[in-house]
Amino acid sequence: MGRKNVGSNQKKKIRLLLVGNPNAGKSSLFNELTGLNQQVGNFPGVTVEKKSGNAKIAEHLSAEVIDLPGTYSLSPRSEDERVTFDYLNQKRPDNKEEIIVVIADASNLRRNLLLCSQLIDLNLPVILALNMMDIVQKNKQSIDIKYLSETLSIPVVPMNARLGKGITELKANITKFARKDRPPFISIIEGEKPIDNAQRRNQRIREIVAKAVTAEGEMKVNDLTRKLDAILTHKVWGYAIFLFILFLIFQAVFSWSEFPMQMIEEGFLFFGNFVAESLPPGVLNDLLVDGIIAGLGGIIIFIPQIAALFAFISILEDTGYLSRISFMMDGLLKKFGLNGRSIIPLLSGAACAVPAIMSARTISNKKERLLTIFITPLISCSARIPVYTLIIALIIPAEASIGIFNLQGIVMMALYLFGFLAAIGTSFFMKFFVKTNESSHFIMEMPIYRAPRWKNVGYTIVNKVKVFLFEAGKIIIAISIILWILSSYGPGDSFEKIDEKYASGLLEPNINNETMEEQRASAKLQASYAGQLGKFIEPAIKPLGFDWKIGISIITSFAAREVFVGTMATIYSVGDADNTTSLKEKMNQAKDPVTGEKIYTKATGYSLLIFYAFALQCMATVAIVARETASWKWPVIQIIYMGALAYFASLITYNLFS
Amino acid sequence: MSNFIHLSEAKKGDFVRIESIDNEKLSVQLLCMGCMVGEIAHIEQIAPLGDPMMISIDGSLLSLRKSDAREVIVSQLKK
Repeated sequence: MGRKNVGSNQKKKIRLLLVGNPNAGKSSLFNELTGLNQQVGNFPGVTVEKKSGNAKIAEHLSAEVIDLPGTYSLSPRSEDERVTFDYLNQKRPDNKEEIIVVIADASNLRRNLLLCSQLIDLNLPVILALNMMDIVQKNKQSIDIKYLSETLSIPVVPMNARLGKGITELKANITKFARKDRPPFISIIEGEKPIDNAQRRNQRIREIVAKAVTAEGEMKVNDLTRKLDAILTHKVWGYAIFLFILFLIFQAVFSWSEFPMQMIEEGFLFFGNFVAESLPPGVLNDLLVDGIIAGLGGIIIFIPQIAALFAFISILEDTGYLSRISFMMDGLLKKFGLNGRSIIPLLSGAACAVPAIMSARTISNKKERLLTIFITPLISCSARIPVYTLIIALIIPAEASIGIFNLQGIVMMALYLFGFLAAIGTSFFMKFFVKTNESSHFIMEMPIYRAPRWKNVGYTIVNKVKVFLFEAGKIIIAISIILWILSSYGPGDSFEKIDEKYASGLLEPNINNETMEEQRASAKLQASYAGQLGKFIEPAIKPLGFDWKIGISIITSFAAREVFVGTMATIYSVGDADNTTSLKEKMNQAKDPVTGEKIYTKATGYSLLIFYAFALQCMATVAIVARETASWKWPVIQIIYMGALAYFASLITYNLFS
Repeated sequence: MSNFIHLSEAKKGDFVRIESIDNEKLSVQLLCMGCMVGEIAHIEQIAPLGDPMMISIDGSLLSLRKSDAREVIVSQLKK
């Protein structure tokens, strides 16, 4: 069945499926074919990334390109490989003509041909793209393309996808592709065991490779890789270099992102004020400014951190170093049910859990990835810092010390330590409860070291930002609108009454306007649904030493933890949330209306610190976990688990100190 | 050639021949990654924490955990 209408004026669209071993250069080819014309999503029901895009193949021929997850064979052992296997075996309803492009690492032909041979035996339309021909030449080998093509009865195209070489030839082969009958690669034996089949297959591949590859002497690992490994996985230098790289990542996610984040924050504030002033005041104005624009700002603010982290991760992955990190850390982390690669999400979690959880995708084992995602929010992130700073300053005098160490600093460090211990402890116990049907063998190919492809790095950043904006973003917007409603509306006519009270000037006559506005805002927040909710949960949080005002702040903190400071400022009617000294003063003077005792005692303060260290109060994290685990099950378990952990830890802390 | 050992016992720098793989699932997986009975493996590195190990076979590098390497029987070759 040849293609008859090529050459006619009719436009035609086919589907190209890219398959190949991991590290064979599939994403380079995908990027070369589609450019920025690509979308990232998930394969239905699983958390495996699906990349698709459009490519122009010839004048009247275009193709939808699907990048299938890397696999070594068609006997799937991981979720990624299962997706590829299922996708190839499915019939799609649109009946589009499909061509499978197998990308093989030509410098490792024997292993790479296995997958290709299985596809041939499934009688699928296959083109073999022999990638990394530059390495073959460097090894002073040559491959008889014609022989390979004739023996396998499929088109074979040599290429170097990194440099974009061979793309034109590949497109030409796609355009003139015609299905033809082929002999099977190996004869079919009914009821043969997979291992026997694979062995027969390998035998035949050996014969073919022996004829196709000239000067195939002893294949050697490339010398540069060997030399680099001697240093980069060295027991001293290896860890020293790794620490230095971690330090750079930290700097990038923590401080280098700070400036653009500030710009975004100020930009949105400016934009919000602008909208607030240019539109007539009213509900719509408030919803737009305090609900939607504030929510949008709360999403966009994450972009610098996501971009910074993924710039690093894609370079580390592209160069092959990420596999070495895994190699060096695995011995330690596997004891906790984690993977060597879990170290990246866990450490970047100290800046922000959102990009950290997204980075857990580099962990191919499903269980290890899930455990990593589950425990990452327990690591103290930068949004907790304002809360920690405020409370610590409130309950511990700056001059307090233990020996030569400043007590405030010790408490801060202890909070980070508790978070880390809770994270690995949780993982240690959870590993017994999370079941997986994946193979428990961990064999990982270590790619050779190569220079990063900057184009790929760029695409990764763009794709990750897009995924966050469009998939987690909608959940975040929805939650921030709900939070806005909760804190701007109250039951019955309570809000009108507050307005009346302030309008009629019943309060102290010589009060200035600003103070009055602050008090009005405070009164409204207390009368709102969030305020009511705070009072409602007071009996439950009383044993932790919290009053209803803290209750309100805990509820509104779900938007993001640092909102705690802003909410407290509103409740205690301090004009500017950044003005923590005056907020500190007011909180310091706050007294229990019944007993007349100070509210922010040491016990309450420590209890609150512990609560913020453990509780999952971050809608962006919830949204990204839902996205990354493709279900609401895990974020809900996470909220409940971390909530319970926070509650009981605070309860114990409060009783210890009071 | 009588000194059969588990791959997990091999030392850095050793050359070994893979003699048998006890676990069928593991052997299919290893085979798909280019590691099969009869191949010569070179122990390239052992992670500083003692686990996993990095071996090279036919020009490609594989990292495997000791728990899996224990199921692979190899014979030591002269260097």
